[in-house]
Amino acid sequence: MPGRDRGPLTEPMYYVLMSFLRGEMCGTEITEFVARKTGGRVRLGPGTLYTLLSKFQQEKLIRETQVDGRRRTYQITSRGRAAFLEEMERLRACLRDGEEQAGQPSDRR
Amino acid sequence: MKEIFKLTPVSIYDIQGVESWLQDMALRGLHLVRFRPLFSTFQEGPAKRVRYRVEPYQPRLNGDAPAPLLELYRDSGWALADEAYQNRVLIFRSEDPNLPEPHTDPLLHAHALERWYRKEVRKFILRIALFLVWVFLMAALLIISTTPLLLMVTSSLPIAGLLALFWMLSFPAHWANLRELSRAIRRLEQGQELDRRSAYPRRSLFSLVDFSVSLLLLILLFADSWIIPQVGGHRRPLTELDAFPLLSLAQVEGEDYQYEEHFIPEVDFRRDPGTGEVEVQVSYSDYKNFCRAHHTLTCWNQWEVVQSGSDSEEGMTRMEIWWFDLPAPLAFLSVPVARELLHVSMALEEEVWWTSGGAPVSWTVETPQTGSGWLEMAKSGDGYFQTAAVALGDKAALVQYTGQGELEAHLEEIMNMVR
Repeated sequence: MPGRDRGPLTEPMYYVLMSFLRGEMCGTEITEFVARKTGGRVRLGPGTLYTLLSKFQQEKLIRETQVDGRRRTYQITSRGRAAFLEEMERLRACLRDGEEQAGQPSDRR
Repeated sequence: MKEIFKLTPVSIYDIQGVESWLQDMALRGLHLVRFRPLFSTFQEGPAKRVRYRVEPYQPRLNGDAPAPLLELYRDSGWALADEAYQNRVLIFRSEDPNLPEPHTDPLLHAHALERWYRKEVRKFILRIALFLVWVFLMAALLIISTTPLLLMVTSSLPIAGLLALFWMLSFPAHWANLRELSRAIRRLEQGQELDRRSAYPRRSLFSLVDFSVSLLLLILLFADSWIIPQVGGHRRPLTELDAFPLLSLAQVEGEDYQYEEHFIPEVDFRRDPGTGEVEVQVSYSDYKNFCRAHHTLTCWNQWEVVQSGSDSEEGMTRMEIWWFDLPAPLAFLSVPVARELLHVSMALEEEVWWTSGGAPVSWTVETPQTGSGWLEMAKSGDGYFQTAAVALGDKAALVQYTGQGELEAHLEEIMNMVR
């Protein structure tokens, strides 16, 4: 399955993939989305973002869809969507295990 | 605006050193125009606090930097300062202190640098492989040569050997530079950001010396292989030989000797510098009696002398002399070179007899006492072919003679050629 051989996604990877879930995005939009969604906790510099987008394209998790002048957009693939969902499930399991161990109720079963 | 050149004190692989140096230059009012391994170019301007960041990239097929990388940096507020093409890195700059860093994830930064590092290591290994091939070719030339010593002192092989030695001596420094990049990657893989302030050498003459010496040796190698051999080369009358007192064929042959000549045309094309027209000049040189100078950087004075004639009884006679003035530091090789020439001369004669189906040649080899100097003579069993090699100080010579005379009777003249 996608992601199983790759290992867990880092936080920037996770949020960049998340940014594509509702449609195509360009670089500036991805940066703004991640900053907004994480409240500034995760910041994407151009070098980090370029490395991520290149890596995702190589692993066929996203594809470039359009180059319109200065705007270059990308779209998540089914493989990328599956990798994101798998990571989300893993994080859920981590949270569940943690809350159980800490004696806190969990409403995420 | 006037451009200022500065000796680059850091290797491009020392990312932190490069960024710190460029930032310090900006504080002195010097702003990067071009970053090169030897000299970097700056433009004068107001002193400013500027951040520089190094970003390696994978070039496209046409060699350009990938457009997405340039666009992302530009959209984030970073301006492209220079593209260090050979090393495949981009250098970005920003005067905004609040602009976020281009790399905000150490692990991803390590991933980006790792690809660059692996490529540069492959290039380094390729350089070592090319060096080994170069050394192998030189060794092969020496091994298959029948006159390896002569080849060493009269060809461009010593320069090629110096070049190989210099390249070998520069490998540790190049590897140390790559290790800087490896250290940065290891640090990032441990989750630590790179220091934005780093010490760098005040100046580094290594690149300048490396480049200058390599360039000089390459120029010398090219000149010695293709240009200098053209400087000598033409056949000249024997009367123009003034490098040494010539042993004359007439002297050896005696009273039955008849001088023979054979003229062939030599065509030379010259362009008139004034009119630009090409002139054809035809001259005639004696193919059977001539002297010719040969030059190499390691042995500038070499002569080839041919004398031909006939006698009334046996027909053709011929004498060839090869004369070498070795460079003073290699004077100790004059005797080994002369000995080598003698053996090759004997081997050549044996080859000729073998191919013509004749009986193997037997030799009488003598080492006459000549006072100072070294002389050895060989005479074929039938007496028709004689050869003598002589050496004294930094000079060596070989005489090959076919005729009725006796070289043995002219030892003094033969030794005089190298005195």
